[in-house]
Amino acid sequence: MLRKVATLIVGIVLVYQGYAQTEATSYFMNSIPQVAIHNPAFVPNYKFSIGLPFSSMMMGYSNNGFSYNDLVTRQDGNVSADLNKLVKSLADKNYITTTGQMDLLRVGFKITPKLYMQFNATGKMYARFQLPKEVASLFVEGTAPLVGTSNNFSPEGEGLSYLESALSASYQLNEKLTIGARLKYLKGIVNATTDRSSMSIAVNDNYEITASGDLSFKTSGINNFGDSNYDFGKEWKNYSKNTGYGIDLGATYKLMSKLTVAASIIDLGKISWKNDLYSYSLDKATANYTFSGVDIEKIVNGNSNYLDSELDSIRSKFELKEGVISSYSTWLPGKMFVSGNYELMKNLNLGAVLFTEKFQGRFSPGGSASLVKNFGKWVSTSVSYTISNRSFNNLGAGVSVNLAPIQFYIVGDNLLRMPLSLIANQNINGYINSTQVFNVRFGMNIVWGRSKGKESISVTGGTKAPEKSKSGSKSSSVTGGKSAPEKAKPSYIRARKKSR
Amino acid sequence: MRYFRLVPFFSLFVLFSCLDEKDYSIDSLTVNPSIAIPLIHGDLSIKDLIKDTDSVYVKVYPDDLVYLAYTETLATQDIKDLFTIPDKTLNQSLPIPAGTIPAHPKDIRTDSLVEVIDFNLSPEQLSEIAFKAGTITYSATLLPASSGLLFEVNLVSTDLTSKTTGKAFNVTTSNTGSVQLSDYIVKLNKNKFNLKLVLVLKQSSTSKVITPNTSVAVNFRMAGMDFSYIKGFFGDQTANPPATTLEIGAFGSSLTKANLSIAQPIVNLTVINDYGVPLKGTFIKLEARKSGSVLPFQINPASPVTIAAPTLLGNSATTNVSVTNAKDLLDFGPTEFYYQLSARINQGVTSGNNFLADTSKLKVKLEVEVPLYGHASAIQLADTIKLDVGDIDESQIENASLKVNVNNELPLDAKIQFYLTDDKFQVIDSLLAVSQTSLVKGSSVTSTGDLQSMGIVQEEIPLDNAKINKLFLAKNIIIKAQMNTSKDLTGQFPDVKFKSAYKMNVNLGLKANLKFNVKL
Repeated sequence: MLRKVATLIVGIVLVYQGYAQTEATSYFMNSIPQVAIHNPAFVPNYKFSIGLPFSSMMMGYSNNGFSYNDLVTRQDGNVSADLNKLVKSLADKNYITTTGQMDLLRVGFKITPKLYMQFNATGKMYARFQLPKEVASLFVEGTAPLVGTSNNFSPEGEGLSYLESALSASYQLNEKLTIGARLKYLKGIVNATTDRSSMSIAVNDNYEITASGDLSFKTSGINNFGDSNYDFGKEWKNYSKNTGYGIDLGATYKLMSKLTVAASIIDLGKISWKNDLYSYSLDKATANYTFSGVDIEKIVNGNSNYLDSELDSIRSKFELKEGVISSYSTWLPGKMFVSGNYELMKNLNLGAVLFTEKFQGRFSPGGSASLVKNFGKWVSTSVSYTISNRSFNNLGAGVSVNLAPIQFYIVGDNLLRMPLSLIANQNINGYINSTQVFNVRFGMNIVWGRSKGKESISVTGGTKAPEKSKSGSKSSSVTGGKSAPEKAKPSYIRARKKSR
Repeated sequence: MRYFRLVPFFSLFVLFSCLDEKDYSIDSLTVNPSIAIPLIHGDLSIKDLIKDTDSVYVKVYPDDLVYLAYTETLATQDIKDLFTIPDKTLNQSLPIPAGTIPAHPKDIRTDSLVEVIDFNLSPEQLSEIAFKAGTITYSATLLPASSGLLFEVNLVSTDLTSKTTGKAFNVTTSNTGSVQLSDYIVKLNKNKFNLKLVLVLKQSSTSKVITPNTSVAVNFRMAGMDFSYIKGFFGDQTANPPATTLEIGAFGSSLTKANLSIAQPIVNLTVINDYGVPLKGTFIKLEARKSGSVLPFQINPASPVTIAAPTLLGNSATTNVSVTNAKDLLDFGPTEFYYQLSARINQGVTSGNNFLADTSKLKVKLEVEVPLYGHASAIQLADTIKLDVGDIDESQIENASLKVNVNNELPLDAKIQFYLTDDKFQVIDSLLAVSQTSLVKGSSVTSTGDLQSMGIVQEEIPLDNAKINKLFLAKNIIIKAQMNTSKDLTGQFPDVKFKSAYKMNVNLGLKANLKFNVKL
């Protein structure tokens, strides 16, 4: 069974070559409340948690096209930027994505043994630019390779930022199944989205170059800043006009005593943009031009203004037309996770997650495998291997230090190679130069009421038998893994007793 | 908590402290593009190959054959200028006998005096002048003035009549007066006409005593005269208009060394004469010229040519003079035609009814039609372009080639070479090897010289690297084209036609592999 699942995951990842920009390592870090971001059915290890403003941040970068090593060559101590080498390494479509999240507030609490709720207010930013390989080839390799053919490409750019206020609930339906949902109220801040993009460069056998374009993108909240008279202090309220709604859905299911599977859909929603709306477009009816060389007839006949008028004509044809538009909506970058978690031994879990992101027509899957180890109640760690964005060298790591009520954590998909590079080379250049994917989430939470008894990875869902808490009250956990009898108390409890 | 916010910055500080910055100090940028760009495109017709200044001479026959039509007209008024009307003055005294003139209730008209006004022209003997300018001034003065006699003088000429009323000249004056001649026509008898003077003593209720030597002094003057026409016999006279040149410059100096054969050229010489007078024209000069050599016209009738004259004033008569060596003249490849005419009237004639108007001209019109039908070789065209590619490092071009695609309907072959020169126009090298210069192939033609099939050149011509490198030393590039009309299968030059619809479609492109290594 495990072999089949693993084969399926690897197969899908290889087929799609891993284009996703999605956090994977933190998916299994149930020691931090932010684990519920990935699946509203997940229940963190603490009954109550607070994330104060700006105490939790996530930054992400991914580039499925190239790393710094793909650009440079080194010889005799000289570093040379080799653009031809860079182009050879590019994907057909090169997505460069940056993301960011910052918690303004996050509060989680267990209402009943079966019901866990979490509220969060989070600022989110997502920007993605798609550079077609054809564009880079054109400028670097020139027009000769195009003779007799044409290049059609569609550069795209997307960007949005918004404030998310969400309330989620996770409910344990039975011993095996836990479901969760998160409702989101969204306030859009700025947006830029490509409506349509179709560019073409053709070179015929006489080397005539024909360029055409059909492009339109919309913006909200951006045009104002080009106006020197714009006073944001007076106009900021307009930015509250952009509202939207979203939902996250998730579930966990305990297949076997040690194996739990989970699935979730995140950020299913859209924002309606109403503030400062502009479109910028190229009309395909006019945005086309063929350069056939200098028109010998005009030159012979002494038309000295011919070239100037041609340049004016090109400028006019390919000038972006700006226009005010009516309100429009954009979907959120939605994500889907499917995972499995297997308890290898006590406090040691092996997890695998297959994830994908769907945004503006781009379906971008990836996959990750993690090993999570809890060292008592104080420290939880995770190491992972992730395939994402045509990048296969992503060793992730995560650690949370639980000094209740304060918890510090840091987790990222490509963090582990950094110290490894430092140890091996006394610098992190090797790591930086080969990085195509990087994300890190770090922060601090105030947590109480750690689930006791079995200190296992809880994101795997399932049910474990209620057990006596230290205070004698019953506690429950939706964490997976085998239910532990009362006598199997964790080591830290035993240690505390000893110390008494 | 606020210290926690410093964590990202602290982390970045730690991160960058673990970086070896040398790795990010890029020393150079390498890029090796392979470019294919169009250089020249378009359609050229024969009209485009003709000098701009001469494009107005390009015309098209109904069968679409292009021809060059040159016209030059020598328009002379030298014959009219032979004739001028001199000023003429008449002073006449009308005596009044001494004695007493009794009171008289009516005017007393004395006997009239007829005077002959003679313009004294020679050799012409005019019979009629229609004036368009001039003035008659007249006066009558009583001498001595103290006599107190009332008088008038009546001046009458039936030869001098008004154009508008038809009435004869008739004025009465006791003082002064004037009449504009522009309204008058005068009939002459061999340059003369009559003027009658009559003294009129005005009615008086008292008697008047006339002292001895009393008279009336009459002055009659015609001045500033010009005519709209004259008639009569103009005499045997000769006019010598200046020489005139007809420039044939359509191909500039490109035909200087060319071997040219125009199949059906036309050269017309036409004399248009407005003068009603027997006229003979002598061509003092009538020749085709080009630098350093001259070819005379051969005409029929031979010079001097009797030039037809109109029979009515206002009409013209045309005399055609055929040029019998037109083909030789055009094949000569002239840059200009030069001619000068001497005109003689009434040669050996002593009388006649001649006429001319002030607008009359003798026009000698030379018309040349050069149909672009024939054959030619060794036509040379050249142009110089300044070149400055000093900013480009020649080592950046690994190799290059020219893509030539010429579809030519014109029956014209061309070998084109690009000569690279220094700033003193000394040739450094040529861009193409000799075998690469046949860039334009002429179309093939039918037996009548019409287009049979296009001449096509589709080649990718590799450029020699050594020659490319010279391109970067050159300051000028001289483009020279040596052309000839299409050859037939035997290598001969048949007569070919250049029609206006024939086009030469040119597409010239450049492919080059470049290697840039830019130090940063």
